[in-house]
Amino acid sequence: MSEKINPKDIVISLDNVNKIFKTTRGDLHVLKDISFNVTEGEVVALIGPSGSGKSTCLRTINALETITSGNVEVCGINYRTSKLPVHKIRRHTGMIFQRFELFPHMNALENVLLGLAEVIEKPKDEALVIAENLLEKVGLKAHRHKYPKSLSGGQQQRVAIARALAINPRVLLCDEPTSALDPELVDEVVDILVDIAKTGMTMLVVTHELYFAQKVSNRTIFLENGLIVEQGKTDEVFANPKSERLQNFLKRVTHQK
Amino acid sequence: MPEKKLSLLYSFLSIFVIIFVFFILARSFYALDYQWDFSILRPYIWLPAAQGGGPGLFLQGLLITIKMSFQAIIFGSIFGIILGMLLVTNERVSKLAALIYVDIFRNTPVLVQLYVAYFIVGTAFNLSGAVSGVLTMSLFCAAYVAEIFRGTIVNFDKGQIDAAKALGLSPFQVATKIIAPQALRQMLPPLVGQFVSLIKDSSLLSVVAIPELTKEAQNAVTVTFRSFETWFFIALLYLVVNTVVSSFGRYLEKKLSAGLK
Repeated sequence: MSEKINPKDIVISLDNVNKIFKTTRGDLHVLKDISFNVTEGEVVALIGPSGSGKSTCLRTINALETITSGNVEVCGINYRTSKLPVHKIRRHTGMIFQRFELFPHMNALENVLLGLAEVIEKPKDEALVIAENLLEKVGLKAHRHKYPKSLSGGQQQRVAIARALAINPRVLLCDEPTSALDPELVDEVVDILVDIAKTGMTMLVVTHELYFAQKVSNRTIFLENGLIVEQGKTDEVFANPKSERLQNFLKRVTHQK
Repeated sequence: MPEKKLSLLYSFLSIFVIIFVFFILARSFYALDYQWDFSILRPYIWLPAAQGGGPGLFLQGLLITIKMSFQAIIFGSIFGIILGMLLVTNERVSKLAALIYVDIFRNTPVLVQLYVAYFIVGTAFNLSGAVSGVLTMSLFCAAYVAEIFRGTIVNFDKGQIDAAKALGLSPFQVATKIIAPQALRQMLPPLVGQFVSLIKDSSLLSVVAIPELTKEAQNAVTVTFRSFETWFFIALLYLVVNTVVSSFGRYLEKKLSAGLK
């Protein structure tokens, strides 16, 4: 099915992105001519074995990782050609991490308030209302005065989701958001991410939890050795994988369960 | 429980070591055929009424020690943090310059640095003993502060920095809102240790005739010939000052780590 894409609706665009890590043992080509777009409201899953480059790929979108060649655009802003400082471009993206990365010297509420006050410069009382609403949305309003150390992994990740949404990003980048969680805590995070996806949030999700990718995404991109091997609608990709490599990958991962 | 047994063993060993050391000291002091007379120090601590009263030479010396160490800590910390920032930049020339500075000041005796500052630089630029003294201690303190700063920043949690950047914070905001509050707390214990050893090292200023605590003690010994009493008392004064400094450090550390435990 070929859809007509209005270029205005493209939130993320990667165009022939290459990334080469220089190491003492030679060059490591981790992203090879990666090109894809993510349009408004789409939820895209990036799957692949570890070392396939999926996390690196995600991190090029908010320039946590520099690229060797190619172009990355967020909301039509090209990191390479824009005169804006990088941190201003990053405002359009929110990100959650595998290891939550909450700021340990701030309580849950302060973690969410930081972006509101410092990045999008909301007035204090307005910021407080937004932050408390976000914490309520992730079910942690009662824990707002707790520091990250006294929250469980699932709770920390939920605060991190509220923190990422606070700056009202155009896209939410999720880097293995469930893989550092104890198995019984995975669902509380998955449920919230699915809820967020339902609100029409554009999302790009790196994961190796296939059931999560299936549950949350409309489109799946399979990466291996820094190459896009296969991509398509999530249901179709999982039901009828075309390439042998994806077939093998799916077989391997499902057998582990 | 083997763990319980082990902790019992440690307690027993500690008590044994304490008793043993105490025994050695007690025996040594007993064997020493010496008439202790601390009263001789009285006029050095507080001037007799005949001389108008007021703090004696030891307390005056202590005040100078505290004042000069305090100045050196302030100047040394400011300069040290600037140097530390150079150590973590990617700009090669200033980084190398800072590295050479730190190595020279950390790896040469303070006494030699003091001689250079007082007899050579001090003579050329007509610096007083006090100025060259504070200058030397500040420069030397800065080298250690720079290294402590570098160590803390280099080992700072990369994940948090990524999260702060991803949130759209500017480099300045990342430094002031995320790194500084946490790094300050992490730097505190080694910094306090450095300040305590600086206060002790300030005794070296006696060689350039600054009337600080150690110099006053030397003077007192040449008059009274009571070196044991004098040095024990002086040690007690250093102990009091340094205990106050370390306790204040511990208090600050506790205060700054609210929520982190």
